[in-house]
Amino acid sequence: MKIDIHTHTKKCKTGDSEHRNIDADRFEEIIRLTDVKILAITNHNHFDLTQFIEIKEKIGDACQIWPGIELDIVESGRKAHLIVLSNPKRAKEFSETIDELLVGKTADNFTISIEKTVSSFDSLDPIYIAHYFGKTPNLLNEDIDRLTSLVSNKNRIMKEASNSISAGIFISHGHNSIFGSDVHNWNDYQEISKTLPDLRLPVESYEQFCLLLEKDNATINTILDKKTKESLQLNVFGIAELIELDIFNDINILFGSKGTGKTEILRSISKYYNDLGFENNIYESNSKKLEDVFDLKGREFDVNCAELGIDNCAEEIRRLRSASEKNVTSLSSFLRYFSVDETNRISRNLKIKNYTQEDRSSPERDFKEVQDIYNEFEDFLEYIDNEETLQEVVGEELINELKSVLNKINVKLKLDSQNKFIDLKSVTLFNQLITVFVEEIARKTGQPQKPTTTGFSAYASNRIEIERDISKINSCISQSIEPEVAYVGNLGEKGHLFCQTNLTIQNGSFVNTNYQPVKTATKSPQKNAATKFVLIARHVYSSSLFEKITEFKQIDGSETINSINDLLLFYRHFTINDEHYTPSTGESSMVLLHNELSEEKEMYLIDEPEKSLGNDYISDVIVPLLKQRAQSGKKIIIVTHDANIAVRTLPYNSIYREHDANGYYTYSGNPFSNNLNCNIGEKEDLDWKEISMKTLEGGRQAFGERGKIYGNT
Amino acid sequence: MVDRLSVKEGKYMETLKASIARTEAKTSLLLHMSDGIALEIELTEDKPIEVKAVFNKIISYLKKGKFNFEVEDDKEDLYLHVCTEYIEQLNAELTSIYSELEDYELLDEQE
Repeated sequence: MKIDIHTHTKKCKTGDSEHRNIDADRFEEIIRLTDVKILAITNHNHFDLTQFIEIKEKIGDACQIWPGIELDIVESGRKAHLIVLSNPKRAKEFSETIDELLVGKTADNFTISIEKTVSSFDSLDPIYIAHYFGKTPNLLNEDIDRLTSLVSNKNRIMKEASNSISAGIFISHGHNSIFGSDVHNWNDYQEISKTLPDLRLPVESYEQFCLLLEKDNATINTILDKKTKESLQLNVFGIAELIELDIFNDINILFGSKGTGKTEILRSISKYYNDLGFENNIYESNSKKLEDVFDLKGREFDVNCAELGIDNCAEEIRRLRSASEKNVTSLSSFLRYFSVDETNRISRNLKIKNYTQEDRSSPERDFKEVQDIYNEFEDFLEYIDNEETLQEVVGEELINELKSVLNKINVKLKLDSQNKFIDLKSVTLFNQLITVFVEEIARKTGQPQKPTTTGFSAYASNRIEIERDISKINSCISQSIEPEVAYVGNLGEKGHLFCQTNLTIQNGSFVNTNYQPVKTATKSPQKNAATKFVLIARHVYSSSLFEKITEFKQIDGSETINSINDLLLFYRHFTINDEHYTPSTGESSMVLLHNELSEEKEMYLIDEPEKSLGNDYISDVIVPLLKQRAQSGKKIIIVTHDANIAVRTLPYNSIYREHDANGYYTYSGNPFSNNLNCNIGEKEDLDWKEISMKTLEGGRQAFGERGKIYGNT
Repeated sequence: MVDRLSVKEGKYMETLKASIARTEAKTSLLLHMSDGIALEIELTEDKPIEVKAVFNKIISYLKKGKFNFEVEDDKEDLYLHVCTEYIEQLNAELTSIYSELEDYELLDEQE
């Protein structure tokens, strides 16, 4: 929620930019694109009640429009600008007052004294905002003192700074300060609005804003109570010191000197919510290392070939292990057969024994091929029948059309499959017939059996199968795997940090000491097995093939290599711009905290997030993230010694732990009331700002740069 | 050495010569390959390791192209009968294995 207490809707003075002119329609269009929820129209020496009403009606509830004017003050011969805002309920009177003052004058030549200003407007429930210091033409301190002495409520005087940094410095010096856009060109307003002050507490009316300027506790508590909160009673340090805390669905800061038990309280809060079923854990800076979080050593890392789109070749490796040589038919069996005269007449007449056996493997492959296609189609038809969503999306008519075509294809495939089956069985039966006749003739006649094969076919088929297996294994091993890259975090100017996981499959010659086997595999059998696979491939058609296979089976740890999964190697490291990078401790902390806060959770419990982090990173990255989480209603409980976090987040709830000679005390309060109340009521209230400045590291600086409109003025 | 080329199933098939070498010490079947090398299978003694070595070489030749053998011998004796039968069976098996190599795309690519 942004506030802009200084805008112009008209070019009133000669020197004003024409781009200050804006009509209600365009105004509404622009404001709706911003987060500005309160806006004061403060034209130079001019107030247009008609335009004010028109804009107010047009914008409706999207933004509160407050009436105002930027006056040319002349005091002791010096010129300065002073904004006067009026209660919107009294806009008509405000307008009439200005009309009276401007009789016979123009915006260009109108001037007014401080005394006249106060006497004219003080009855209209005004807020005075003086141009101050760098915001020129400015009132001097003596002019503001004069204004203070004349107004009925000095809390209604604010000083306008030129930007948030100046406003923060004024606030740190005890000045009520704010700044506005002083818009010159409405076309730039959407961008300008991003730099306007944020209202941490939702302000629903001009009156409520005025009460906040008074630091009216009742108002602040009313607003705070609108936030969801829970009251906790914690027994952190024993029954003697029960701690009662309110935890808001917003930022809750737990601060105090070291050794006052803040971390123990945080753990107790964590346990309280865990016991209720709200799972949470405490983020502790430096308790985790980035390399452990991203598991650089791969203790938990596991991946398999299927996930990488590579066949793991488990079946091929199994077959390779169990492969054995096929014997060939001895030549002596041919010699034996032909060296004996065939004397049996019937035997001589049985020509079938002389037939050569036919090739069975070819029709077998043909049959299997068609059968596989047929099965695929059958599976697809089954899928269509069972997939209800497909039927719903495509419709019954189209599905039936598809099924009809598929069924026609299947009929053809089935027919072809049947024919190929017949071919296969014919060959099988024919070969069996020859074998049976040859065996029976030999048995009945007592003559040597005629060999029916040289053994070449079985021998060659066996080798071919080994070649296919080993080729597939080596082909899969040689596949390159794209590195997996995971985003780690932003290291600012250095760039984005990534965690890269390089994967490769040991091919027998891969050497890189950075790479480690995935999971339980060990390096030596990986390398030795892969080397043997290469050798086996080279010897498929040599006499030493089975020696090489035996060597593979006999390597140490061979039993651990059962698939290509067992040959996987990985190397995980961080990168920036594709270059290897080792983040420092500080950078690791930055990334871890950022990731913790980026994670979607119901509650964030954080112990000393500032550890190892620079102020700039906390202010520019962490504080905005905390605010963003708070805005979406998350519980954020932070133990901190850092003012950047404890102050700049403007927490709804500050819990302060104090220790003195009499014991430990817990205070609760907030920056808006600027109070810290002792929970057991034994101690006097403390000043939130004073305690924050005293206790927190960088407290004074944080207040100096804060630039918020209220909280601790 | 190459006697003729025959066409079978659309593929050119080379017919190579198989001869019988008879000496006092031993008798062998010689398979004369197209590059001039003769593969020897001894008929008078069982030497399965050597036969397997010849088979390995035959597979390597088959990857380069389809072929079969024809026995050429003018002496009608036991060895001729043995070799004729052996070559007849081997030829059928060569065709079968060539087809298997082809189906599994294991043939050497033609230059």
